[in-house]
Amino acid sequence: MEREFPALPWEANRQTIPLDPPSTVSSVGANVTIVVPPTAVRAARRYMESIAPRLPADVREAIIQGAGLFDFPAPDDDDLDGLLD
Amino acid sequence: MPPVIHRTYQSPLLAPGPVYLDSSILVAFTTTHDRYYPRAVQFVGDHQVARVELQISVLGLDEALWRLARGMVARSRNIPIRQLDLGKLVKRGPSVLAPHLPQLRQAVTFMQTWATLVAPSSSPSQFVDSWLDRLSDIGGLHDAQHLALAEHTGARSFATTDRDYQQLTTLPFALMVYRL
Repeated sequence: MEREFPALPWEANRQTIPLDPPSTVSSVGANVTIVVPPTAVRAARRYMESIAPRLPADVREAIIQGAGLFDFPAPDDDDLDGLLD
Repeated sequence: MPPVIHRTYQSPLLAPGPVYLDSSILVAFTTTHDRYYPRAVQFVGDHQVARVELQISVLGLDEALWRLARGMVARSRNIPIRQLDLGKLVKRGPSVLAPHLPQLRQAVTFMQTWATLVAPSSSPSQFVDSWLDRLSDIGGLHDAQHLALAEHTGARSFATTDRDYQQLTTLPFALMVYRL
């Protein structure tokens, strides 16, 4: 059973990229490929839920809310533009 | 010089701490569409449960913020990330990033909560010497600086998704490189 995470203040009006398409479908308006299947994203959330009680109390919310805070498509490579090497 | 030991992370085996995280881990952990997102979540989660210290640096935050900001601005303009020249845009003024600053600040706050923000324990000149020395081991300026930071913060392990670090064979200090 998936846990519903509380919405963060800025999430109320944000545009959400659908997570339902198959993993190899290019996202609309972006020349990149979504490479993380929705099932893997949900599995990561379930994993986080499963370890939540064992996380140190002082970092628990930061871990749970910080994981997957952003959902924009990421280019499929290690380095965006060489600037970060 | 001790050989660099390379490992591919396999849960639930833990990396010896402290573990220095480069920006690729920070971005993967916070971005659901990053292909390493599930593994980064597991890596951070496993080490937090085991109370293994995870280290981040200002350099790592700088790189992570750049990549996160770039993704956010691209999405808000509905253009591919690769077609966005964020450097040119931000030079025009702070208005480009202003709408996204609350989220970026929140992300950094979260990261600083579960990881230790570290700085070199050595003198600035010693650190710079190490940084330049590491350029003999790895090509990128930032990659070399991350290695110098790991050396001077006492990290025993280095976690990354960056394949460039695979070229490391030896270093003057013991380090295990974990690739997600």
